[in-house]
Amino acid sequence: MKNRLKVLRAERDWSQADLADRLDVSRQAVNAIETGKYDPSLPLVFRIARLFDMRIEDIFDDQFSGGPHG
Amino acid sequence: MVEDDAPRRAPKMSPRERKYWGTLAACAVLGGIIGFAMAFTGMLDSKDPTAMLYSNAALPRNLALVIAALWGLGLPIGCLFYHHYADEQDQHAYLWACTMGWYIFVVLTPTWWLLGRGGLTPPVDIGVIFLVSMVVNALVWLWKRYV
Repeated sequence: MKNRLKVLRAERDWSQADLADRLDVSRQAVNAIETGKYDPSLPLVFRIARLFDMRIEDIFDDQFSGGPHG
Repeated sequence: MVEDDAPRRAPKMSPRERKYWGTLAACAVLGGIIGFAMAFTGMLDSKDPTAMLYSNAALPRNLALVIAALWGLGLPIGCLFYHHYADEQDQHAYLWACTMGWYIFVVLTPTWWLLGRGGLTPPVDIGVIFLVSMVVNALVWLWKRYV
């Protein structure tokens, strides 16, 4: 899943290790999420959104354009 | 491989990461002690350190008891700590690794067993199957975790 984690992190001048520390995960996990190799769990997604004070859909993009209402 | 876009900063480890790596190190030390004890016994017995490590030969009773206790109790305890300190991406990699290791086991064992019964291969060697399963497990874990 595409996301803006790397950009948001860079805006705050955080390293991957800094972000990992704040989310209580490893640096490898942050890297895997940023590169789209790993989709984080719902609880971790909520933690990320809370940390950046943003809505989940403003950070993560599941590239879904359709839906029941078009 | 894992990219770190802030290589100039000193790497730091959270308390959780320190405990995580401490657990893995403890498991490695445990494996080293077991391997050394078996190799040392093999050397005493036949001057060949691999004689005890890679065979089904009889072991001294006390050594067998101690090593079995170390493995049978140490490994589950180590796994408990590992699962407690591993983050979700690591657990995800672990799940993949265990699944692939399991598939190797369930495909390889009966296949070899049947071929052995048909006289096409030597009889099943549980040591080889264990080793292959563990190697596949480790490779898949490294791939999902770091590549």
